[in-house]
Amino acid sequence: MTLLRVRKHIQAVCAALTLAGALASGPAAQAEDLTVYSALAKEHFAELIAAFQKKEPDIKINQLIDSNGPVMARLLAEKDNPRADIILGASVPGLVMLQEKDMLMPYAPAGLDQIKDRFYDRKGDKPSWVGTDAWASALCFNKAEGAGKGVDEPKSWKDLIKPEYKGMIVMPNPNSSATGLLAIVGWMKIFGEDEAWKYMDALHENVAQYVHSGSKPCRMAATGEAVIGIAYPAPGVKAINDGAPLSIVIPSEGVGSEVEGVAILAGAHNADAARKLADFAASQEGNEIHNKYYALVARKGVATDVPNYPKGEEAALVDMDFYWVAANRDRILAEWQKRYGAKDAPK
Amino acid sequence: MATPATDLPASKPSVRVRQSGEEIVLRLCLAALGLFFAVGLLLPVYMLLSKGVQDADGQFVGLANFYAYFAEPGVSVVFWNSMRISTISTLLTLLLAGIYAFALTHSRMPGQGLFRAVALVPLLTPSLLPGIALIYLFGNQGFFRGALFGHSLYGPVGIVIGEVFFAFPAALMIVMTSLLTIDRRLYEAAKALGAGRLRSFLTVTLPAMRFGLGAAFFATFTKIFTDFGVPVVVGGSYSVLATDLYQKVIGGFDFQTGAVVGILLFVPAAIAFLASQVLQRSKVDGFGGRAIAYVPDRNRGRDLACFIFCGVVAAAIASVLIMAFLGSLFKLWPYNLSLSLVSYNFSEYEPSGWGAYRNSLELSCAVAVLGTAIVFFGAYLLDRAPGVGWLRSAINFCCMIPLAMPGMVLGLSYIFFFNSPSNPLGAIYGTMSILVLSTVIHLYTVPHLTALTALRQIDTDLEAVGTSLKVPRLTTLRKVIVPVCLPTILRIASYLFMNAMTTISALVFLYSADTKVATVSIVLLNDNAMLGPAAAMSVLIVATSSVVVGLQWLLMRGLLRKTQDWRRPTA
Repeated sequence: MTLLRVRKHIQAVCAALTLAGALASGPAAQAEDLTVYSALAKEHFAELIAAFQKKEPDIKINQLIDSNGPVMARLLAEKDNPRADIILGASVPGLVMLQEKDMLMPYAPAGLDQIKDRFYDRKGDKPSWVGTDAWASALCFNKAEGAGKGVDEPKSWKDLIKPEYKGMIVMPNPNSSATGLLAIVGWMKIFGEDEAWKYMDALHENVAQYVHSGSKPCRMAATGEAVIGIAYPAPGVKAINDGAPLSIVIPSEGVGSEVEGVAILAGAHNADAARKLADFAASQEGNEIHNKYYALVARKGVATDVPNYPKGEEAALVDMDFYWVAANRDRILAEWQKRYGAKDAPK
Repeated sequence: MATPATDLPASKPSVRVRQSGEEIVLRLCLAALGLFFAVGLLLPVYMLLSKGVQDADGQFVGLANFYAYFAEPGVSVVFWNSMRISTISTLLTLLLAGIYAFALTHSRMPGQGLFRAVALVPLLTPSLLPGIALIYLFGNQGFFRGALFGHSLYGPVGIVIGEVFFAFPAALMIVMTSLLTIDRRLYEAAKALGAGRLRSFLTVTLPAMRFGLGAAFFATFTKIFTDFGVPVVVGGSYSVLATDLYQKVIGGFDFQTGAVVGILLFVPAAIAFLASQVLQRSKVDGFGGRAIAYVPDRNRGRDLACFIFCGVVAAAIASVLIMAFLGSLFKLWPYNLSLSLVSYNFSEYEPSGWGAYRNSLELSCAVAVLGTAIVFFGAYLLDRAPGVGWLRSAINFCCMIPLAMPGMVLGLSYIFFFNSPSNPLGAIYGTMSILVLSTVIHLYTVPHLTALTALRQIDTDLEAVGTSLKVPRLTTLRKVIVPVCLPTILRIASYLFMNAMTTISALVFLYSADTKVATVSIVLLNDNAMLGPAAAMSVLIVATSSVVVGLQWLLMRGLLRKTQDWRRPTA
């Protein structure tokens, strides 16, 4: 998520190292130990690992679970003395950054041919990382409030800059939310960078608030605090299932997506066990587990319907250049801050 | 600690050895207290300050970071936002609290006890609560959204209303104290000299309030300037320093800018603190030993006006609390207002679930027990035990710093200090211990001053008598001083518990997945716009604090009867 900046301030964050005391307590490197760092949701991780250990009962797992940012910060802090063998659920722009620092060990898991193209690293002979799941941008629209205010459901990104939506839109601040950044790089991919900035200038006029977290816009739309939230589908789906008068819109121009994946660390002490876990994460069984938590998963043909999940998401995905995102992130955020960061009061 | 010594044969040399042995212990304890402050306060703050004058690679760059900050209007607007909003909220708070205090002390309106009680209730709430209640009241779907005349709650309007609620009781107490210390004879003199009501208000009441209002201004300004809870909920896109710091550090991992913003948060608070100290020094005590407390005379018009004013303010405070409580019970606000307890099923909304509340209880108990022990024994050491002069003054100074130190700055400095790979104490990072340590330090000053006041009421001759009777000092402490001070100790413990329960500022940087506390959970719920559960968690905190205050009150009554008989005049 916020990786490039982390790189700069890594000394401050060195964080990590001390906490690693917990991991160091059982000195690594017994044959069947495996140290896993994970940014997956707790339940997702627990289910995946339980299924894996059923297959490989001899592998003992040391785990560290945190959000994507702290996990990345930890890995960078431990660069010279890696403690992790494998990382799960990391966002791909972060993995690309590790890759560019030569911190990853390329490995082609069994069944790589079953993985969709956009879901694995295609830079070298063997992929440095392989995706497990993905999520994409979407709009949440409050039908009740929309009707009350006499506005129609927006169908496309361009609809959002119509004057009638003034003050009705909430989007995450890209400086603190990967969801916000994803929406922006998606627009850059779809409209081209210059057009995307013009689009955002116009959108800014309609935005009521830029909020801290990525799931807040859909929740705010769900409670009528906003009419439209720019976010991703999952929180909206939950709100609909809870009874909120919400619809989820996949804008017609297409949506940017972020892939999360698995990578083995260069210098892994237990590379063999790590490869077994990478194989499992890419397997049919593994993907069926991912599918319980994400509608979009890496393996072809694994797609169970989630109730109220918007249709047509996968077809609407635009090809994201993760390497470009990783390289341009800081520049985009600085420009965004300059243009919209000083918004004094909600309009 | 000291008891084994009493069994020694009472030959003369051994007496001397015993005394000096105890002195050594006490000196060591004082040194330990110094170490406690060095580790818990000075070193972390030093780390933060040094980060502020370094560039990203750790090179010393002087004030360049600050020049850069203020050179970019899009960046420094946040600082000016904070200054503006804090000034407005502070003045508004003082105006309301000033009149309210006047009504409570200078009128004979009915219901004073109730008005006082209601006004103090915000002390039991986390500062997140007013924001949450305001969304229900004045948000885009709020019950009274029309009352804002088309202005959006999110932004300056919401922050000011929330901060006034949050800062009101503290300001009220300070102003009230100053009003209660007006010598009645001054009014009588004014009347005798032919001054009318207005004139005696202008020449007696207002000058007497001056110091109270001044002190209240600085205390309130600091509280509001450094508050995080209100703006994070209703600030919308209107950034203030506290929310900016949170976003920089938690959202963006930008520790460098975080240090700069943290220092900017600290400086005005420190200036306000110093100013209030200067004010304190220049204060002339209007309430001499022979002063007579003021008793207002009858005046129906004034009493009615006071009653109406207090009634409106108290109703506003109460409605915020009631709204938060109702909000926690709505099934699906705003579309289904039937009542249900779904919002209290926290694990549905936040992975830590009820665990966050349990962590809060654990934290508050630990802070109350350890904090009370450290604060009271620390105050005893500073007031009565032997020790090197410079160390004593240094520690005394350290005891005052937390009052001026915003909790967020303390939390941030802990990240820098304890999270540094070279720090052997780093093991406590991410554990409950670091939360306890930071909270004890953060809350240190007020209980410390309370303990000192209580200790100074006890004659120092006690120890002299004890020593001459060969009673070790620590025995005197245990058998005389502690029992006499028991009500104070209880008050300190309950203060610490309550504040640990409601504080958020330092903790928001220091919690880990296993040590998430209730207030942090509210912030996260709010980040996800889960209003009902956030309201529910706030209500739990208020309920818990109220129970503790109630317990304290009951215990206090029993204790006063049991241990404070000596204070009563003998018949």
